[in-house]
Amino acid sequence: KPLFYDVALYHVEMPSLDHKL
Amino acid sequence: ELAALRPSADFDPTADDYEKAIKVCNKLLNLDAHDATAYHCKIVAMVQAGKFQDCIKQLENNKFDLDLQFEDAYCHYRLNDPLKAMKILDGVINPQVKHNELRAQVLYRLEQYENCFTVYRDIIRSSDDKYETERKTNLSAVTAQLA
Ligand SMILES: [K+]
Repeated sequence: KPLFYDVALYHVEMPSLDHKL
Repeated sequence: ELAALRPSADFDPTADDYEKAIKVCNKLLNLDAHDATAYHCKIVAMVQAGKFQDCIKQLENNKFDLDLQFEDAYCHYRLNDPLKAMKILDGVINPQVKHNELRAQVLYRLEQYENCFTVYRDIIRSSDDKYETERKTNLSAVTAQLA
């Protein structure tokens, strides 16, 4: 089976917390 | 406490870190049920911790004005329901790179290699980020299936 990266997972990112800190 | 969730260049969180983050977010949501940022962080932490089924349950009760269609579709993709993932992606009004990235992976899972190839070609043309190498590897995998 060819190598296939789950790049979508890298896009599951925390929101910006700047306004909270 | 939220500062602990802030990503930094040398911070590579483990599943355990995300479990802790979920607990922090639950604490914050108990203090303020309207804390949209805590809810958003909780959803991301649940995905990163691999709690896809629980995450979908949480998203069913999304009372916030937050667009989490991408996270929802991703959970269905990981739970091996690419058709449901595709249905959610089809409902996204203004798809971003992340939506198209997931669409490409869903198409690969569905063995729709020609459509998958087209989506990757468009992403590679229009994006300029740190995932170019991984995408080209994926495109090679798709090309191998087309051959
Ligand atoms: K895959």
